[in-house]
Amino acid sequence: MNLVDTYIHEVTRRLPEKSRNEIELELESIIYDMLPDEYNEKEVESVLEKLGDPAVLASRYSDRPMHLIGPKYYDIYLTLLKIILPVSIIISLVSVAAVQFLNGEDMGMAELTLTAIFRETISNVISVSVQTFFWLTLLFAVMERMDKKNDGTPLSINFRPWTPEDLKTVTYIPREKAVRKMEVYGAIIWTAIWATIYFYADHLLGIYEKGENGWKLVTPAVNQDLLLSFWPFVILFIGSEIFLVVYKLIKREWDSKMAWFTTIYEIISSIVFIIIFTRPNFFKEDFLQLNSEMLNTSLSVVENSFIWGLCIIFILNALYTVSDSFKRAKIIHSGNK
Amino acid sequence: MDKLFQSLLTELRRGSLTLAVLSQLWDQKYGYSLVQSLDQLGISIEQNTLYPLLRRLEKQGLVTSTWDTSENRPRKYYQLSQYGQEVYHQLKKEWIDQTEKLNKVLNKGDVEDEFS
Repeated sequence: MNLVDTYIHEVTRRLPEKSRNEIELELESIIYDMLPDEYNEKEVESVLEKLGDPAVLASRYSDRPMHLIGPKYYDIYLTLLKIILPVSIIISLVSVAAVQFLNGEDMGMAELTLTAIFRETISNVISVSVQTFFWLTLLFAVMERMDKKNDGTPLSINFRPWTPEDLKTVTYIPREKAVRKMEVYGAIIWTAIWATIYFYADHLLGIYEKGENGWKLVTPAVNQDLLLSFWPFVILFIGSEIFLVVYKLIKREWDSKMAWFTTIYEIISSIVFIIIFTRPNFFKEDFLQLNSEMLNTSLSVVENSFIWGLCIIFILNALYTVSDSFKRAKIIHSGNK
Repeated sequence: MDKLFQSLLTELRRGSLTLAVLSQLWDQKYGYSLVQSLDQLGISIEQNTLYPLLRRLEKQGLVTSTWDTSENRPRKYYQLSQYGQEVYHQLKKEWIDQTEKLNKVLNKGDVEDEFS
């Protein structure tokens, strides 16, 4: 095969079957027109250089796009990705937590450590993100290619070209009143953390000692059976927190209903947790013993300061959360008249 | 700066290329002869733009093509179709109109340049 034939093949192999023959013939006649009657390899090369990269020439002949997702779909693709990615991550986290909880007993609780939970969660988040990204991108790449009427006009979120009517469906939310993304994700992560700690407190909380295989919990801090006896409340709390997060994601701005819900939730959960903390034998005897030896004080002083410390942290946190939610819900909607 | 200028220039030329090509196709021409005739008129067009453009114009019905196999090498000849002639006239009118307006704007700009 000579250079000309190879060049032509390099162009046509990138083209749809049906237009190959015609373009092949045309390119051949074009190239030989450009060459003198007697020519050498150098001249052939200079002619082919004028025609340029076969891939570029082929793309100009072809109607198919040379991009994965073009201007028509790019904006809506990004918008959907931003919605779908976090939602699928949340779903995967919730399902990981549920599976962990349901299988907890069979797995052998002893194997459960913070690093194991952390590793499991991270690998899950990564694989779900990659999957979501891949399938959504593939879907849009296919749409880009199937679309016969693709003129590059961007689509808005309702899959139609933009009109001023679209503005009426956009709710304008002042910055201070808007539910911050960090706040929502933070709430999810926080729920996951405290729920894990609650159900596995005897494996996670306490005094650690460095052994041969790294840090190991030697003296659990709290009485797990006592903690678990409050499980209906805790399930209710987890449910409420998830409900609030979903509600926030849908509403996207603070309102007074949200503030009241938060208030009632904070009051009830603080009361329940204070009841839990103030139960006798909430803290394990060994744990208190060790602490009192370390701090050189009596057992009851240690116990009381731990209990009241926890209670004060919970109350302060509840007060801050409630006041913040009212402050943000009260901001006047300047956009509406 | 140079790179930006080049890309602006390409963009500026893009619209006029179709018109230039159409103007040369009252008589039938084959690909390379079209390049040469445009070149003589001082209009340079990259070949990897021209040939696909011709094919697109044919698809759009603005030009017709015939294969001439009488010579030792077959050649594809292009010529304006009836429809292509009409479109050419309209485009030409628009072009003259636009350039007149733009020239006015540019001349006015030049005067202001001198005073500033």
